[in-house]
Amino acid sequence: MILKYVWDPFVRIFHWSLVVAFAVAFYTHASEWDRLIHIRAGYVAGALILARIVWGLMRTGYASFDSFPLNPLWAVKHLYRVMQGQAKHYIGHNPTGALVIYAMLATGLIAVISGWLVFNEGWLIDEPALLQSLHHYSTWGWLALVVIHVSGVLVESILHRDNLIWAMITGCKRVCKINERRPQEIKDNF
Amino acid sequence: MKKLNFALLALLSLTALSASADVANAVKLEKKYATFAKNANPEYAGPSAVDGKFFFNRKIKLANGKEAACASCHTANPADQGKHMVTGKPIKPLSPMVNHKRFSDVEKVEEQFTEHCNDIIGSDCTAAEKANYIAYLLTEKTPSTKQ
Repeated sequence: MILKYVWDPFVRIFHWSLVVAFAVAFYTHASEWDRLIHIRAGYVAGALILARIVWGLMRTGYASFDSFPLNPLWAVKHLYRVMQGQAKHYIGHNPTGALVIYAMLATGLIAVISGWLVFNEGWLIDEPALLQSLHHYSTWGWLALVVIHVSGVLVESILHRDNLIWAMITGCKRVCKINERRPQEIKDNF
Repeated sequence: MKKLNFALLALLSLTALSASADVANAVKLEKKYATFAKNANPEYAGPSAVDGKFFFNRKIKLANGKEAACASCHTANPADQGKHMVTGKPIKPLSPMVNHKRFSDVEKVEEQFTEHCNDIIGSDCTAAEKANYIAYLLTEKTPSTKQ
């Protein structure tokens, strides 16, 4: 068994902080009593996402956006190969997972920005009804993406006989087959 | 540029649509809730603005110690601009007579009632309470002079 260090401390702290911020914001969304907690959780989530984007633009190994390019076609192909049982083993994000990650980052940003504008009603864009709908659908969409993300994690954990949730805590993934490829070599599969 | 024009046009027509929704929807909603209230309780005499006003101003203490009335945020005159008691943010007037965007979208009204009633009384309001509430708000037409 070979352990491969994949997720750096920033990524792990970011990941679980975002989980907490999102959970708090979700739990407090309906009550006016909790409005300030909801707002603060939202701002924390927004700051975390921005920090993650900056981190992704830097040379940060498996955390770098270069290591998991956004390509919907690859994402569909990879999913098809998973269902055929012929999927390649990726150490970082696989192409399907990458698509969900980018969708979550984008939806998360829209959710936070729309929430920010709803809270400061009348400022910048004076369309309360439109902004409320945007906030409503982007946050529920975000939750749907979280469900897809977790499903993907569970599927890959079973397929690779690895505990990917534990990997996001320790940073280490178990790499069974050493067909290790450097980030840019992902392209060779497609 | 053309795309932007279309987007602006779409946004504009959306605004026009919401502006056309006026107080008629509030009256319809009041009737709808009154029908539900009568179904639940045949002795319900119909929407009462007096009961609605009492409900609006009554401070209610929840089991968790939190205490508020509708008026805590919307002020004693719902034709006035309100102020959120937790965040301090301004709230547009609640009365549909002053703010035509209020009580225009049924789904939104239902959602707001459910969430706000949970905040204030600890459960959803009854159909009778909702009918009385809208009946009262329809009587508040004049903002206070100080504003």
